[in-house]
Parts: sequence; structure tokens; C-alpha cells
Amino acid sequence: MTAVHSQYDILILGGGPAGSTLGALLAKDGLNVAIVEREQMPRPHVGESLIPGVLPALASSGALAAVESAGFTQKYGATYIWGRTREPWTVKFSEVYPDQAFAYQVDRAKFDKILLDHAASEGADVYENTTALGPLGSSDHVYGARVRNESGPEFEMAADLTIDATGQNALFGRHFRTRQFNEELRHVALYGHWSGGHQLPDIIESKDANDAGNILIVTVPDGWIWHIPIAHTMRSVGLVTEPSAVAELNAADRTAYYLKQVRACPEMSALLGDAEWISDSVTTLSDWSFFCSNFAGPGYFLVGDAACFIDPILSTGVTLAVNGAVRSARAIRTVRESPWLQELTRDWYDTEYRGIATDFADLATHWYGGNADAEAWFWRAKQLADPSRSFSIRQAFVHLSSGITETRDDSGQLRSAGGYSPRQLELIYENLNVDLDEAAKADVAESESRFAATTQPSQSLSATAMLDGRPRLRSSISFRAHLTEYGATLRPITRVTRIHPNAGPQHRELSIMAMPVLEEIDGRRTGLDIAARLRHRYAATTIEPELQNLVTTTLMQLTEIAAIDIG
Amino acid sequence: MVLDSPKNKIHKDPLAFALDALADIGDVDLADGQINPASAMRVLPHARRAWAVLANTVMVEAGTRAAQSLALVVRCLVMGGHPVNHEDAHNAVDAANWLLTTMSHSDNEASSTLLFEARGTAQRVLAPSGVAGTATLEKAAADLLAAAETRQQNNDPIAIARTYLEIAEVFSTYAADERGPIVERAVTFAQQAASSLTPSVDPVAFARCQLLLSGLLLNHPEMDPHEFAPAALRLADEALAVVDATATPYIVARAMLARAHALAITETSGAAQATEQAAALLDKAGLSSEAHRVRHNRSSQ
Repeated sequence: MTAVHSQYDILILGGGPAGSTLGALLAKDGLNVAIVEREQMPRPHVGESLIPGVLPALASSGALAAVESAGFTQKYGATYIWGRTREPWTVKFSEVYPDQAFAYQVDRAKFDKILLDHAASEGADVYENTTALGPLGSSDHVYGARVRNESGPEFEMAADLTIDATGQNALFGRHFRTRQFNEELRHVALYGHWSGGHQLPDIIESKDANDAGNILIVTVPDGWIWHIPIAHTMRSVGLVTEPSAVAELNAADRTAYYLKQVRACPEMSALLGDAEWISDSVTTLSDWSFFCSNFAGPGYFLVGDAACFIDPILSTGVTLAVNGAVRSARAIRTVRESPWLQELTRDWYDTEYRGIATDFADLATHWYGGNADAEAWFWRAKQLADPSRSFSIRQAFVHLSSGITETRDDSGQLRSAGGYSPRQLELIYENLNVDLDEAAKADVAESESRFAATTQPSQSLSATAMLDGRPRLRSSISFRAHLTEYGATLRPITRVTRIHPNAGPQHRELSIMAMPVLEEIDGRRTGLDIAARLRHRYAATTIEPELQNLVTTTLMQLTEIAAIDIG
Repeated sequence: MVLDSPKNKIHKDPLAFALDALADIGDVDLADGQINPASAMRVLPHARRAWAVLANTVMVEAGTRAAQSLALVVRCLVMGGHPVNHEDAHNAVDAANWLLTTMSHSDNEASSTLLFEARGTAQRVLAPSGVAGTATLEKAAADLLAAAETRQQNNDPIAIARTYLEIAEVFSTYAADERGPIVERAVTFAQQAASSLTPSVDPVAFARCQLLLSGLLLNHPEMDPHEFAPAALRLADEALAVVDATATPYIVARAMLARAHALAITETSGAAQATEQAAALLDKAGLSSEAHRVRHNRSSQ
């Protein structure tokens, strides 16, 4: 084996959307980045129907202009024939996001090459036709990867951080045996390309010409079919079905099975009309959803499908990939500049990225739940969306299916850039809180309202009351050291979390210095007791005289957000 | 990547973590802002750790020590011609903001002036390039002009000159519709700074002045860069003559890049060699990312 002498800051395994976006972001930072890609771009790849949540991430990496000028079909929404009736229903991104009313239907061969070329133009060293074979080191410390190019021998590439962006191959997930498959979302996709046919608005009797760019998703007896208008006359049509349906079929029989299913679907048959089947044979892909148990470890991060793969029903794959890249870039900057935050950073990345992916997976699972109609999916989406947005149930569905969510940019301003806030179910305010009486509802509403409010202590909370009283954490409250976005990196905070019996977690951020105070609260000690214990712990240090002030302020903040009761 | 393992983990005991960091900062004297660059580089990671916990704290004494360390060390490094990353600059702005807000009016003027300079220089580092950086650069200029005014009242010509140099740096990067007047102001401030910051007084500051003027000559909207390239080259060489690649590799690298820029305009041989020398110096300074960018820019030209 020949060792490569060049030591990279970052070694990215995989040159798809996740790897390319991360490579561009970090190369823009001036880091020494290598991207290893098994194929020579452009190479064939299924799909792809993008959702607007992709666009802010591409803007961050600087690739958006090239994507916008590539001539891809504009996609304004999605049309479904799914549910209890065969009546088509359409959702448009503009219903919630008029400023990001469309995404694109892309030829992945062309799209992926644009992103990889962009990463190279930003300074990343790109090695195509080079296959990543496995990590160097162990899950306790990865320091590079073994690779092999087309003609040469196996060799090693060393790096400070190694990124697995190998897609569904999930190199590290397989190597470390951390993939956990979701049996509820186990499917296969058979797809191919067609030329010609009709426009969607003609088939669904829509007067909106923009609907021509929509993805169409239609249920059939064996599963569901997608129709993606990649270009004016070029369509990707795929059948998603149970693995057992095709397990015994050879390639020719699979193609025949696929064509039969597509032609037997009345809406798809009408849409394709006299379109020509232009693929040699159908391509089969595994669509078995999985999550790796760790999205990051010492010396490595997993991004995109390598971290988790989710059923394509909601077209979320590329969105997860590029938004995972944005988050991993932030995490990588943090661990490089503040190595003492490594453990917290890995935890932050895992929590954030897993949270987004879990929401998508949850909605996908619900989607396949059977016997549901559009209203039911809208309701589920509303359960998963941020309650502070006050969406209608239909808007919540559009919000989730657009992949747009909020995070902060480098200047701290809120913007759309992927990354769902934690699940915050607000069904208690809708119809599902039937087990609560009116008084309980009022109490919960008041408590949650205060929890979401400012952390500034109110005038009515006196320091004396804080010090004389016995603070007790409410049973629904937990806390831990965590991180929050700060500039282009992350900074430590104390995350206080409320778990509601009928809803998901809701978080508030306090200073990291609140941790020692929170740890001392046991319902028996007074504020003064807590201050005394801390003074004992930090005796004869600079901070000793000011610990009482810390206790008072922290207890006021906790009271203000209804995290503690003062007895 | 430098790994360090503080005795206390931040997520296990943040206060002990901050105390460790304050202890590691030690008793470096911050009062007059004249910190030895070597000390500044030693202190910076510890100040960063301390401020990570004590940012905007209610514990004023410890917070002040952390904030002062960070803000003044960043100021020292920027003014001493050393690279400062985006996050340190961001933190330095926050730290100076907090100190200026927390300090009572009775706190001494000298301290405020140092903090204005710290915030101004850090804001200049933070400012995005182009029009996006306009607002940040305007804040930087406001801070530095206020500091210069105080310096003038105290009649300290060297200190005034150092502040002028920072103002010149801000104006030189300001993207205005009419660039001519702002570039002229940058030239004026840089020349005034250079008149006091002679090589015998402060060779690094002198070199920075020459490099600034060299760049302004080649980027002046009303001047033909071909005509002024020889003068720009001479200024870069003057800078190179007074700085030491061991002590200030970043400034020497910048000088080599200025040299390469001038040589490239006149299509004189040696531009590529100067660029590579600059990249090698950046590597030597531990700025391998910057070196990579320089080499990449050259290869893509």
C-alpha cells in the first residue's frame, strides 16, 4: 500500500450533492479539501425532483447561480392522486413561501456535475474515478481513508476530518455496523425515462400552466408511481413497490412488470400518451430507509444518504443532503477553532440533522399508513411543524414538503436554510387534548406561553424571593449543555427542554453558566443554599464573590420561562 | 488541527473550565494594550475559552478579564500584522461591546480608546468583501475615528499613527459608488501613518503602510495600474526590506503577494515565483488554508 503524502484538512468521500456542497463551503473558507468520487461526472442517477429547501443551501455554497442558469424545469409544487379518492390534489410552494415559489426538476447527471465542478472552482481537489474503500483508524478515531483509483493500487489519504458522503453505500455505517433499517419504509424503485407525452395541466384539468413542472405522484395497486418532467419532452417515471413484488424477476421481467404497471395506471397512461420509452431497461434501486446510530464521531462526520436514507415519497433526499452539508460545515468550523467543543459539536450535529430527518421519515411513514386522505397528512404535517408559525394544516404540509425551515445566517438573521426546529406538537390547541379539562388547558397554555417568551427577568421577581425560596424543577423540564449557532460556528449554551405529555419537546436557551445552578436545584435547597454550595465549590477563585448574583439571575430566568417553581 | 484537553470539560463544569482558562491567561498586563505578539498568541486560545463561557455574564469581574483579554489580544494581533480568524474577530467585537456597555462612565478614557480600537479593527476583519461589508466597515471607521480623536487630544503621535493606519485599512476596502475620494482618504491616512511609523519605530507598521499604499496605487479607480506598477513594486520591496519572515510571516507573505501583483500587471517574469514564495510563507505561518487558496487562485488564472 502506498501512502499519499498530502495531508488534507478535510477528506470528503463522495462527490454527490452532500459532498460537493460541503466541499465548496469549506474550500471557500480556505480549507485544504479533497473530494473522492467513485464515478466520472457526469454519471447517470435517478430523478430528481428538488424542493425549495435545497435553494438556500446552494446559495450558501455559491452554486445556486449555476443551477439557476442550467435550464432545469421549474417546479412549483406537487400533484397527488393518493388517498381515498382518485381526485387529483395539488399543493403549491407559493401557498406558504411566495418568495421561494419554485424549485427544479433536475437531471441528476448534469446537476451533480455542476455542484462538483463548483466545489473544484472554489479550490477543492477533486479525484474522480477513485473509490473510497474504508476509513483509516477506528470509530474511536478516524484519520483518513483507504482509496483506490481506476488503475492504481490501494493507497491512503490522511486528513484532520473525514466525511462520509458516499450516499446509500454508507461506507462508514457499513464499516462500523451502525445502520438501523426502518422495516416500515422498505421499498424498491424501478425507473426509466420517457420522451414525449402530454402536459400535466391537460390531464388534471388545471388552468395553471406552472403545474406542468409539478411532480405527479399516483397510487397504483402495487405501490405508487412518480412522474418528473425533467425537460420539455423528457420524463423520469418510477414505480415504488414492495421488494417481494420483484424479488424473483430477472431484468427483462422487471422491465415488463414496470411497463405494465405504468400503462395500467389510467392517469399515467393518459399523461404519457404516445410517449416513447427510451431506456434500455428499467433500473432498480433499493429504497430501504435507514438511520446510522451516530452521525459523527472522533475525526469523522456522516452527511446525506450516508447518514440516513429516507423513502423518496417526499423528494427530500437532496434537501437533506445539502442542508446536512451546511450544518456539518458549521460543525467542522467549530471543532477546528474550538477543539474543546468537539463532543458537544458532534452531539449538536447529530441532534439537529437527525431532527430534520426524523420529521421527514415520520411524515413518510404516516403517508404509507393506508386509508388516509389528504386531510390526514396535512394534520400530521401540522403536528411536526413549528407551532410558533401558526400554520393552517394545509400550510403545514406545504411547509414540510417544501423542505424549508429556519436557521440563522452568519449575521444572526433568521432565514430559510434547512434544519427543522425540534418537533413541537401543538395539537393540544387543536382537537387532540380531549383528556384535559378547561382549567388544565389554560394552565398548559399559560405555562407554554411563558416558556416561549423572553428570558429577561421581570420586575416582579425579586432577588430576595429567589434566594429565600426553594426552587424545584418542574417534572416536565430537563436541561443539558448544548450549542447554538453563532456567526459561522457554534457557541455553548444551556438548553432547557420542556416535555409535554401531549406534545413534543420545546427548548429555551440560557447561558452555559446556568448549568451549575441547575445541577444544584433539588427542591429542598434555597437559593442561598445553592449559592453557598457553589461558593464552597469555587472557593478562593475570581468568581466566588459573584456566585450569588449568578444564582439569583439564573433562578429569575428559570422562573420567567416557567421551568421552576419557587417553594 | 490543534487538539487541547483542558482539565475540566466545558459541558461537565463550565465555571471550572472558565477558571482554568483565566488561569492559563495568567497575569499578562492589558492596561496599555501594548502586548507582546508572542504573548498575544499564547493568550488568544485561553481568552477564547474563557469568553465562550463568560460571554455577557453577570459575573462582572471574571467576565471583564475574559473580555479584555480577548478584545485586546485581537487588537494587538491585527495591529501587529498577524492573521485573525473570523470567529475571533466576531468574539472580539462582542467582548468589546459588552465591556463598553458594562463600563461605567467613570472608567478611564484610555481603556475606552483601546476598546474602540479593538472593536474597530475586529469589525474590519469581520466585514464581508464588497458592498455587503459596507455597514460593518462604517462601524469600524466610526470606532477608529473616535479613537483617533482621543489619541489626538492626548498628543501621542505614534499611537495616533497606528490608529490612522487602521483607518486607512478600513477605507481601502470600503466599496463606495465613487471610490476615488475614499481611496484618496485611505492614501492620506496611510501616508500620515507612515510618516511617524518609520522602520526604526515600528517596522511591521511601516511595512503595512507600504503594502497598503502599494495596493491603493494598483487599485485606484483613476490611475492606470500599468503606469504605477513599478512604484507599487518598489513599495512592496521597501516593506520586504524591513520585516522578518520568522517573526511576521503573514506580513512577508502579503508583501510577496503585493510584489506578485505588481509584477503580473507589468507582465514581468517572477510573478509566479513570488506567489509561490508567498504561499510557502503562509504555510510556514500555519495558514495552510490561505496558502491553498493563493495557489488555487494562481492556477485558475
